[in-house]
Amino acid sequence: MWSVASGLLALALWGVAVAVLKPPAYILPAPWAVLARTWTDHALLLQHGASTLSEILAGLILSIVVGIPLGILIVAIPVVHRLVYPIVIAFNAIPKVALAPLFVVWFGYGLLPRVVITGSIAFFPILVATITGLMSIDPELLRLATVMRARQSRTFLHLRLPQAMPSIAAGVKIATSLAVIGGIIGEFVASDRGLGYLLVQASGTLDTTIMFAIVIILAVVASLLFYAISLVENYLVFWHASQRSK
Amino acid sequence: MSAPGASEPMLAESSSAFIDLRRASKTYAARTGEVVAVDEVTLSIRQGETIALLGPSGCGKSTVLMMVAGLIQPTTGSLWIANQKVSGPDPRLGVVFQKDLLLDWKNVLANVLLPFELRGEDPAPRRSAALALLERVGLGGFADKRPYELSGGMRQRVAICRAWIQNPDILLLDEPFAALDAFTREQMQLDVARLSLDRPRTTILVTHEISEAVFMADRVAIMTSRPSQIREIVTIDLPRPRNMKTRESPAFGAYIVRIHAAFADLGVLHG
Repeated sequence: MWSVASGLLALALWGVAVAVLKPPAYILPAPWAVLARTWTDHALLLQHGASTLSEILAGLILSIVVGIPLGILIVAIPVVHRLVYPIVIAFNAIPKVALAPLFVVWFGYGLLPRVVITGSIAFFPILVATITGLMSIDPELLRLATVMRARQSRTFLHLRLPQAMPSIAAGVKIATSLAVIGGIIGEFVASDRGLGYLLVQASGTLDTTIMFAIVIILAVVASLLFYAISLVENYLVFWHASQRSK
Repeated sequence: MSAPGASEPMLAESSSAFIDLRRASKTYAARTGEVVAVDEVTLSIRQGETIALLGPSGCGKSTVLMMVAGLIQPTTGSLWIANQKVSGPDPRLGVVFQKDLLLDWKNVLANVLLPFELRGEDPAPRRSAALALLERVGLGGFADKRPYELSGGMRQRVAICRAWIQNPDILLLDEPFAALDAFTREQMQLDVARLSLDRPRTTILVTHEISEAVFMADRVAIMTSRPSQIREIVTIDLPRPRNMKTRESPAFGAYIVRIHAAFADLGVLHG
């Protein structure tokens, strides 16, 4: 409930600023004007918002299904670590915005290039968190497993993977914010729909009011997504100190 | 499950030794040259006997234990269990470390059953045995609890159950009570002594506490660092079963004084 209160506080500060400074609407529209505009254009915003949300979710899922297994492979197989990890790091160093036009050439103007852009931006923190989590196992725990004559696969399933889960969950949370960025960038470059596309259009006509509406919607969506991931995290790693203190 | 060596005379021949270290050494390569962690340790342990490796930190007592556990190989010399040269962890082993190493993502019962889970064996048939074991160490109602809900002493009891559930012939205890407060520590020593009543387990206890070594062990190996060697072995001729009365006996105090003096003579203690 505190998040609602802080949202209202931000709106109030904004309203006071507009009432006192009286800026032109194309610089800073009033919050009530933005709210009214959101209502009148809600069909348009919903339609484009659904498109953006599906990209974000698909990109996030793509980054998870690539990032976690790749992290596991890199930790489990030394050759993969030596051969593939440098490529992954180099790939991450490329600004993904620069790759966006290339993805358009490869995948066209549909949903696919935008999902790939989103996924490519979001997957790196998941990969790093997976690797860090799997590597940071207590060596004494591994020694205990050895004395118990544990099977490698069992050690992985019962020791390594569970204790890496809090780290992986933190990586997915960071990826969630990046996926929202990725979705919008994808629409800037390669789209005829979505909130990012709408933003570019509005910018051309100095329609600041709808731009504010879109930005606020994005903030709300990203926050809800973050809370949703936190709920999943709380369910999966309820045993971890970070969850118990809640 | 009778131990053939248990009723043999006190001075057994080396061939009857259950665990046998023969001039076992362990050296590590370091930047400054070779570091000798264990220097030609020779030690014969009879079946059912408890031996304490007592010494200051850095004297290599844990390294000896890791060799017996099959986790590290001696650089020179050899190590035998039941006349078989050790090349890896023996199936008859149960170990308890200073850290309880419990898994927070499993409840107490699942933690006790971990050895079977890790080997890919079905833990279900061992459930009732695990519950009975928890009952015996006073954790009857805690099977469904998580490790983080327990105190340090309770956690270490779970770790002991996890070693005991495999019905080990050999117990390796690496300073298992060192992280506990004095009262809990004494209670745990009594508990382990009680658990061993049904069948004496061949036990190696690594400790830096003289009274713990005297209370638990049949023989105490006095170890020093530089060189990391066994300097003297003191036979503790105190009656078993040992209990609270054991600590009050004059003989118990005499052993402590004697071992304390031995460390002073070796230069470990001075002042």
